[in-house]
Amino acid sequence: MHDLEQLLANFNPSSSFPEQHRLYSKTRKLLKKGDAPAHFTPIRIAMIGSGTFQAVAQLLRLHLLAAGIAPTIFEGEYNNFRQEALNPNSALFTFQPDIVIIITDHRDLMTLSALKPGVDITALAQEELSTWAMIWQSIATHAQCPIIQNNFDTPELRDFDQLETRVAHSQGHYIRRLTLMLAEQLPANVILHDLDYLTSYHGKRNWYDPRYYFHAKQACALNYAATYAASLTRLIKVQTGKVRKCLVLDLDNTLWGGVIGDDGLSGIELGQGSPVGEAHLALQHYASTLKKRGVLLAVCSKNDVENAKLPFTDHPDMHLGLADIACFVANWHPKPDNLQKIATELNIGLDSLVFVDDNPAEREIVRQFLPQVAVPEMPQDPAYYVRILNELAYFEPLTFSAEDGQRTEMYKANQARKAAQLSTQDMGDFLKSLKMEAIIRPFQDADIERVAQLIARSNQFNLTTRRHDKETLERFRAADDYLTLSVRLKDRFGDNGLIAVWIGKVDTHNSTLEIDTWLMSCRVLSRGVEQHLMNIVVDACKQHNIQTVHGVYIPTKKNGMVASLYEKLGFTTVETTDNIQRSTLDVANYTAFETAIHNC
Amino acid sequence: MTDITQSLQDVFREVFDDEEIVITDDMTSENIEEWDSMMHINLIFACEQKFGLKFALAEIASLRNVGELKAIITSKSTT
Repeated sequence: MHDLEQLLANFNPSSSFPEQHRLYSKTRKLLKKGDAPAHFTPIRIAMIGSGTFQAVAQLLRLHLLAAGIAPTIFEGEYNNFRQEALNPNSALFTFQPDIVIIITDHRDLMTLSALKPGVDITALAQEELSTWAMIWQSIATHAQCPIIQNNFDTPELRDFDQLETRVAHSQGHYIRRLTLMLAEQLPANVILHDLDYLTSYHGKRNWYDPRYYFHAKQACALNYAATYAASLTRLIKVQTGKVRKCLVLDLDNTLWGGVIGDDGLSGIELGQGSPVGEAHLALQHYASTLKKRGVLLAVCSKNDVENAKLPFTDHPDMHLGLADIACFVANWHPKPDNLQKIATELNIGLDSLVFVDDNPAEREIVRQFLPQVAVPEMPQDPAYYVRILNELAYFEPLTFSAEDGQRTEMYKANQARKAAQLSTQDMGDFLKSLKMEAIIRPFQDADIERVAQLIARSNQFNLTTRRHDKETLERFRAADDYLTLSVRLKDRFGDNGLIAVWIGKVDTHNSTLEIDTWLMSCRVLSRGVEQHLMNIVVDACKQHNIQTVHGVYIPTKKNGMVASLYEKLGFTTVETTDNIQRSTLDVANYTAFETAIHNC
Repeated sequence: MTDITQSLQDVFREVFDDEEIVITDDMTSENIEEWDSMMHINLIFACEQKFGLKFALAEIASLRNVGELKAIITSKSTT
């Protein structure tokens, strides 16, 4: 193991500031001697802002390293973010960031001094937002990268004490209005960091220390620098494709109190009437909320399967039903084996799993054998289960689309398909029996969220792993020299939704096209979708007078499954190095594949 | 070495991650390479945690050397 990984192996993101700062200093010393491990994801982060945010920047570095991300961080000058963002020749842009973080708070609003009785606060808020829009626009133009922008926290001080929200020109009322308008008008390249939630949740009188603010305009009290860094880290992780997808739950003493095998249906503690039972029920409600937003739920329990399922089918206070669980595993095998099984069954990586278990021994064995799985340290008292999981926010979403709410149903339908596959001898017959129908078309308005999300999340069937943001996608859509395609797939088991994304860059001068991006959700593997899409691509090439298609494969740790995709599709490999593989296809010589997919 | 001097030396060693630091009353930020304005705040914060006290704004801003730091801690610890 690399020295750095050794040092950060037991990193506790909620340890004290001095402790974390010391660890940060140690990582700096190590990185002066040598590079971060080669498998770490490199990223260039520019932080600009109004006050002193060095402590946040230092801990951000630490938290990112602990998450397997190796950042190079540019720290802007004190109170200089507007100038840096608006000047195309500033050090911010010479740095060429992959992401820009704007560390500001309510004190950076320019319109506060205009608040007086009778002022049109909506118009004033609009004026304020237009000054921020200029900053974002400039960054979009000169750095072409996503921005993380703090929202505006309601201040510690109230102009009118308890009358605050009733007086329209009070800071409290105005900033609340502004925060909602900001969220509604946010451009596609900006990700909101919910500073207002952090300051409220931790308490504004704790978050800000007036001494440090007067001394050096510190962004927050030092004991909250870690909280700040952890919160930003979660957004950056999702942005770099490090996404958790599935919450795996233990049953006894986790989803309910007691042991179903010993205590029986009437003996377990669950639901109203028992305070402990209510705490376990609260965890079920929390899991259910995650499910509605697209997180898969799985069960991993040491139990006889009949016993394990009994509360789900027969207990009146049970909130979760069997239909909510995408994968249910109850047996007496070691939990690491079962987690492996869950990952395989759902066709997701072990690094997409979060494992919740009340038993410290089970948590420890999973940490030992499967370090990729996130295993939160659960409190002994079930009363705190939900709070801890909410604080850790493993499933931080950057977007929400209607399809997210349907994800469990899609995965379950997929398991039904697998079962059907086992009972069908011939693969061709099986695929025909699926009665697949595809809609393949250029990106539509309604697709952009989902396309951006697939681009952010897909790791395995992903030829180039280029993480284009929404704004870039809009640019491709509008550009003459880009072709975009998305694939939606339905079959007799249900709608798979939008499952593949394809982007090609046309070079009219040479009559060629290079495939910039091609990715597909793994839940539709081995069904001929890639062959079908290639047929469509070649048709489109003929329409556009393109004679040669260039395919690019950029190897990562996770996309080995598509290493020979272009070869399988009839391309000729022309260059292979460690970092890239290039192939070409002569459009005239392409023979269309037979597939079992119909266009609709 | 007094208890406070010993504890304060521990704080310095932890904050600067250097087990060899030996503090003296006339030591200033000039004597420790990494002692910049950020580390100054870290140092104050670590002292507050270690000795369970709070520095006033004016004290944070005016501290010149280890002797002054020790004097403030001593006065706050005995009252």
